[in-house]
Amino acid sequence: MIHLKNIFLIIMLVVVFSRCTEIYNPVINSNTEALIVEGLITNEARPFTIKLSKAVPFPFDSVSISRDVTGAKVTVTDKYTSTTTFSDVGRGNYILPASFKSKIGNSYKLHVETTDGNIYESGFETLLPPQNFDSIRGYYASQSYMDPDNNYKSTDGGDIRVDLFDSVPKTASPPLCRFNVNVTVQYTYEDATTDTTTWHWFYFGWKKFDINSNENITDERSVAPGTVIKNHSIGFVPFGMSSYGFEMPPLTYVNYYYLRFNQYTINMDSYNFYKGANSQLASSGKLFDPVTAQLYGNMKCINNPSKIVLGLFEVSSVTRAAFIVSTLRSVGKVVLYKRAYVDIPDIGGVSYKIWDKSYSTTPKDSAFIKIPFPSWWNH
Amino acid sequence: MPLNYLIICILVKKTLLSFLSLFFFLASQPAFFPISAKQKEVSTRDTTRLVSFSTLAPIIERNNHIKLYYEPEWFENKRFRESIAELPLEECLIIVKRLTELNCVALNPVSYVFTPVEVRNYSNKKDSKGKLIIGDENDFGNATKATLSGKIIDAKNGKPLFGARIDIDKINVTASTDRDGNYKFTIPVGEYDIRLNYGGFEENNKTIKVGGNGIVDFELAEKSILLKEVVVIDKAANLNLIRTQMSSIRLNAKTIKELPMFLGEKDIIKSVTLLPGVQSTGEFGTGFFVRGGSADQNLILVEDVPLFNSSHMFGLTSAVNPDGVNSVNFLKAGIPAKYGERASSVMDIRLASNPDTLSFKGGIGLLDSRLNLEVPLFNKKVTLLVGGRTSYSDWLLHLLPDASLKNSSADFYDLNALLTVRFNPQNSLILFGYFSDDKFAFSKSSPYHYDNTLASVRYSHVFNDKLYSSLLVGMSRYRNDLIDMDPVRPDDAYKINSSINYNNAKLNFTWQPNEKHAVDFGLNAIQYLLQPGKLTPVTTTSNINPLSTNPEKALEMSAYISDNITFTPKISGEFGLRLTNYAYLGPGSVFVFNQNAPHTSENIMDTLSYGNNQVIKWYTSLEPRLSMRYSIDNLSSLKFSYNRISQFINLITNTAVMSPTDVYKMSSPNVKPLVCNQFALGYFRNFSQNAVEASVEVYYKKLDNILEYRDGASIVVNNSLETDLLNASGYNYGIEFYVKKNTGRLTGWASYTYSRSMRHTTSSYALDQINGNNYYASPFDKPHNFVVMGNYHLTRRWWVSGTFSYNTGKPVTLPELKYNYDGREYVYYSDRNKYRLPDFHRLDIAITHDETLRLKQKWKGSWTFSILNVYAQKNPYSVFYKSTSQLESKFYQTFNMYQMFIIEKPIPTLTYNFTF
Repeated sequence: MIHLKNIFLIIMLVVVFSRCTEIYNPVINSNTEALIVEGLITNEARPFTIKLSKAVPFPFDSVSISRDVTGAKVTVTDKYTSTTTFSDVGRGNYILPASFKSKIGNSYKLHVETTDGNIYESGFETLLPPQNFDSIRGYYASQSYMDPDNNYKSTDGGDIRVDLFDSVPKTASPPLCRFNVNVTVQYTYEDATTDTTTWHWFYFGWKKFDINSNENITDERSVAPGTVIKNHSIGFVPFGMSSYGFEMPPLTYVNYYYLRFNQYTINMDSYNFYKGANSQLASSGKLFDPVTAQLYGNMKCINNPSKIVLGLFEVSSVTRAAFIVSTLRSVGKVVLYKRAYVDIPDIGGVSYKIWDKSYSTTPKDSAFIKIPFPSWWNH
Repeated sequence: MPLNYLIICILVKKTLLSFLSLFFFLASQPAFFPISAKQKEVSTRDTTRLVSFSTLAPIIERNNHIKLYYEPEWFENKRFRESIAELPLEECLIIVKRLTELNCVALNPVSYVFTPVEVRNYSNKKDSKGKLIIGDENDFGNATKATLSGKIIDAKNGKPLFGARIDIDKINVTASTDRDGNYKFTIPVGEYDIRLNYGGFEENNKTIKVGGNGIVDFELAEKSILLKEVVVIDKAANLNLIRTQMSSIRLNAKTIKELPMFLGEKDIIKSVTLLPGVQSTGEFGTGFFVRGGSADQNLILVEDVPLFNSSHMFGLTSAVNPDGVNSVNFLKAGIPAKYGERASSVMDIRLASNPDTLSFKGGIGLLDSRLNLEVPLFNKKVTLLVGGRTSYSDWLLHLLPDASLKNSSADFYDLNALLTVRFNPQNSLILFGYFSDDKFAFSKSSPYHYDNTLASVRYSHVFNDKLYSSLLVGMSRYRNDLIDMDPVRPDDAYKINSSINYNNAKLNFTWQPNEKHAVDFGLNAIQYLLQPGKLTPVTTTSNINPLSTNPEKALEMSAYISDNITFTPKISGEFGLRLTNYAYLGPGSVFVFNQNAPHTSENIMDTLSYGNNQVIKWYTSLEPRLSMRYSIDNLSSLKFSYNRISQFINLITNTAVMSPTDVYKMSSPNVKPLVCNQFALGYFRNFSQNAVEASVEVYYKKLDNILEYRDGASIVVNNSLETDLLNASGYNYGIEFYVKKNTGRLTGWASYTYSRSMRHTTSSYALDQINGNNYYASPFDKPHNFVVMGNYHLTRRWWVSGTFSYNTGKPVTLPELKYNYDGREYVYYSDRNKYRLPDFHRLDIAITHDETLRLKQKWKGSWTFSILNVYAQKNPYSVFYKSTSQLESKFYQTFNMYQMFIIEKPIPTLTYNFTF
């Protein structure tokens, strides 16, 4: 005799999961205060700025609310005990005089005395020789994301990769780098509702995006042999305006993706800070997220260790490069064209200009006089 | 009395075979006759005198208005005290039966017939509380031990059941029947709850009161009705009062059937989390927390070998297939000396295999399909159980609120087998094997994988009725790995894997020298082989340099002895001692830290290397165990227990959910063993003739050498993991109220627990401190916990069930400040676990309809409609601070705190169960 027992036949199931995350506004009871130090000294010949501010209470205050710390005495001392004083230029900004010249191999310590009598100091941070990438390339790829309605979407784009440290002796310790990479989307679009037989409204503009959601640093590697890193990802450049969050009329044309690549060679203190920053930034709500990570920098309060000081006094060397990222979708290729590295405002553009119906590449004003694009447009 | 009528009456009795024998016997007896009127005459007399049965019988008949039928020669030379005729009929007949070794059967309310014993039941006398009395009550207190013997037969046809089992949990006695259905064992006199089991038959529970030697035959009936009973936790009526063990839960095959379902699946581990003192990790996650202990402090044994990862799909369902499980014994305190290894609890899971015929059991569920086979071989000398499950659960993952999971895939399967060989009643061998495998991939380029392998061989031998033994050799292996294979970076494709190999041997003896003692003693040896992490290239073109954390090796050797002593019927105690020697072995290297500085990588002064099998560090742990029971009266008892347990293996995790990258870490010179001391006190009281059980338990648990982690600790392939770990200690305490109704149309339980679980570090160095050494709530600190679980039979075929659970929100660390740095927003978190998630509460209900309850109906079906989260409560599983880049600014509100829900809407499920 055969017994077939407990066979479960599921004949109906209705399961509805949707929108399973919500903004959470916890009640926070805290009188905690913290000084924020944001400072960077590089190997470049430019005035260096230290920004001092105070953290704002969570969750209601906006970080845009100015909590600048002014009136502080800020100095930097190198390992040869040469001390330079920053100038308070207001709004929490302190600038080193132009006479200050950093030097590769030298070490610098930041000293801050605030008006409440507290003294903050970093350790000596060493300026390391700059590293440059060996090669850079882009791969045609796709990337997935969730929209606010938990719809799963994807976009194509350029996966930008670099090779590093080929010239570094294989017996040396691998350098530590972080990459600040942004893309300026240069676009034009027209308003078809104003279309006439000869002209219509024309717009052009640009917007800059950081293409890394986390701090991009070299891996804590076990790669071998030697120090070479192949195909390190420095970010993904989406092709298509919707991926950048623009609400554009249909007739929008992306002209150029201008990629600016900043490679900082950092010391161990900075590396640990950015690694810690990633631990915090990586908490994006995934089920296997690490537990919360506190982020401390290299500043300490000398006279009162219980005082909280956050941020980083970073001393690192930098190399910069810029490219136009272009795609050949039909063959699935991404091409990088090297361009001059120029500073571009974060966002800008020209609107309500007239573009003749011949679709010339240059807009014109109401008198049909050509309005040139910015000098860096497609440089 | 017409003989034919007698025959008909006999035939309708359950012990058909015996009565058929009786019929033929009576038919051959010409002297068989009813007692004559003449013999009924009596006169005033001395009722203490001894009389013949022919004198006694008319008095009994007259007093009770009945007729007795018997063969006079069976009563020759027998004398009875005449006064017994004045006793209630039942007691009177029992005495007659005991003195004559005859059986007496009621043909109808006024006709009784004495027969030779075929089904010998000297013990069908029950006291006023329904306990079966064995031996002469007058001799109670005179004897110290008693031998019970008899048969276990099939109630349907009277056939002896070969291999049927009698369990007496109180004194750990188990006996099996031989080919003729005979059993025999000697136990101390006293009161016991016994369980009778035979594959395919309903378990029969009885309470016996043993005063002397006795012959007792038992009947077992085939299982007939699916989901007939709704008793949630089944055991003998007052076992909760009379056993010394406290803080325990026992589930058997029948009660497992009644467990609540989760997404259409019965789940043993999730059900256990509904019991007082046990808390789940949430609506997703592996393991459970017992009285403030972490998940790795629970020893989950399957056939005596530990299961390291008890979940499939990271907690959506447990890795233990409920279809094959015969019993679960779960202990929270007063843990006997034979158990060690883990600090907080023991879950002892036993599989079943004692089928009468070839049988299949299977199912199709939301997550998986199952099939179990049980088959008797070689005239039931050998029985085999083989079971397995496999999943088709991708679709469910795609419904989870996680972008990565929506694009993921998951598969699992598990297999188990149990082969039982009964050489004879004294010797048996059990072979057990289990394998589970989970694959999980966020994308094709990053698959996770983990598996469990368990195996054991157990040989049991009965030396005599006082001494039993078992020898077990087992192994458990847990492996996990993940692959990162970025198609654009084949040069950096790598695989990280870790594993734990656990080999053990257990030798256990149970010795019952007399009626007052039940002694357990034995030896236990465990070998641990850990590979905490290994990084290897996954393709031939990968430039990854293999990196491996140092493997760990250790031995844990224990000797234990415990004695369950019955001092008086009111007082019993179990005294145990477990001595454990732990050796952390080479090869390996050990950091030597500057003792005057924090244990950070900067303060490593030296690294000592050790050769293979060289003892790096010894730890010795002496673990006293004590359980005491005092019966205040027949309805209530007071219990106390103390146990000390050292744990030498720790799960290191820094994720909210146990992830594939979590690693185990052995105790070493820099990682001291976790030590748990627990005191518990309980008051137990039953009501309404044991239909309602109630208890109040308080406990205090001290934990030393708890492993905590620094903020941002890295645990993957980290050869200096010890520098990321912190030493902490803590305490847990609580009070648990529990009331359970076992019988009637309404059954179920309600419990309320108030508990706290606190931790603190003790280092004098700020870097080695958490929250400045102040006490903080552990992740398992949920002070208020309330559960109501009930089943109500509307009719015999319709019944509803529901579970409501509430608990305080779990502790979390939340941001207190936020600030900008380099264009990104960061937060400064509060002290660890300073805040709490919102409270959790949820109601699940189900209604079941049995199509038929008829015994002879082969096909039996039932419908169950259930709703999970009836009133759509949004219980946050976790909160997180999400700071996204501008690139995604359209898609996420940046710089906000979010709460995530796993189940936020009602989930209805309709299930059809059937059997044939």
